[in-house]
Amino acid sequence: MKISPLVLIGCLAAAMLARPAAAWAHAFLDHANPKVGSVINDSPGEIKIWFTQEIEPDFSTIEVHDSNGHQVDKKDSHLDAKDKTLLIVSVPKLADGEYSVAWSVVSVDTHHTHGDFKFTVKTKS
Amino acid sequence: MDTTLTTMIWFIAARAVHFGSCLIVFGVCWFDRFAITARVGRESGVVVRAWERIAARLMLVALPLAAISGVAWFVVVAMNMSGLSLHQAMQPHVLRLVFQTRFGRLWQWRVICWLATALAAGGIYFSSAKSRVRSALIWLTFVLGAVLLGSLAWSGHGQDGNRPQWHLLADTSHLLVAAVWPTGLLPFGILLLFLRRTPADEGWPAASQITNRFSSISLASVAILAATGFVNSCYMLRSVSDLFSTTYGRVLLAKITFFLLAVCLGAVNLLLLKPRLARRPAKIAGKLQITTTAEIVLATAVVVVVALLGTLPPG
Repeated sequence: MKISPLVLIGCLAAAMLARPAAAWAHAFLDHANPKVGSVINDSPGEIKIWFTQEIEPDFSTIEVHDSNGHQVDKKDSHLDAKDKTLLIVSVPKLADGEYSVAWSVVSVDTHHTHGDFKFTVKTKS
Repeated sequence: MDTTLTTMIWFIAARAVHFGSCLIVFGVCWFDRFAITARVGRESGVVVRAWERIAARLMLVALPLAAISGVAWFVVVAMNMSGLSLHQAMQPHVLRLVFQTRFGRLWQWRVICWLATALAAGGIYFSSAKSRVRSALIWLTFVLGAVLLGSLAWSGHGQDGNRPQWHLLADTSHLLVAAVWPTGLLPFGILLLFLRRTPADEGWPAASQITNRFSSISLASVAILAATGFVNSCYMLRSVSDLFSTTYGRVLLAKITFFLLAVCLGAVNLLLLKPRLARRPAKIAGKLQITTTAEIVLATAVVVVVALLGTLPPG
């Protein structure tokens, strides 16, 4: 059976159009709550970070520091029960000020990544 | 030298040796079952005896290498995951955590698979098993070797993407077919070398048939490798321009270049040398030996590049 070159080109074009979204492999921050660089009116109960890939909970942590460099989170970083890309850490009621969030994670494909961002708590007086 | 760089070099080396040795284990099984067939190679006593010695030696080298490089790969991953030094990462409580990860669980299964493969291969090549038992053991080693090699898709980028099942399927197929060609060139090249050094001409007709058979299967392998490689690239790159603008893309481009050069050499074998092998076996086999060796060198370069690709962030 001969296959026309046009059919082959068509198949290739179709494959290109139907191509899957590119993988990120190494897990990077996708989005967070509180949002990166945001100013929020209320202290959040938890810091949530969604990553671009599933992560290994035993080697993944979030630390929250106040402007003096003191760690303020409850040191209970854990994965969401359903979403394996979501890492959560609890925080006590935060006073007004700027906080830095440092994350360090290992993706399921074994790669280690880390990063940080800031957010500010400014309650309405 | 910087510790991180040293660790990275060890990681790439461990990955390259592990990929290479697992490819050889399955490649030898495949070559035995499909290139040296009952109809072709087994008609010639010279070829059969030569092949059994070659296969045994390749297994004797590849299986221990797979074990050593697999352990090295695990150790570097444990260091990378924990962020600890070699000594600290080898503490039982750290290892326990690593074994609980997806990679750790995969490696436990692969250790069992390696042990089973080694036992089956030992039964074939280093015991006096009867022919029916031997044949069953060869098929068992074939299946176990495929699992040992194919499971590597789960160790890296193969599980990434929004539809990972297709990525894993493409990655697994890519690995298994790579064991046919270009890995099959290694047993083929060694067999040619052996026959060239054998004074009797008894083996040449069989060698010519093996070459024909290997060429046909290699042609199909190249097509499958190109197709599965294309699918993998779709998962790993966001656009064609990534091939030139990102480190991952440039390294992938190097892999594609080596692959295409090896395909060109394969085309020389297929179109120019193979048709003349039956008529002037000794002379043509010498030329075939040179091009095959060059293909093996290029294939080795591809394996090293693949080992490097697995450590880089895609895109």
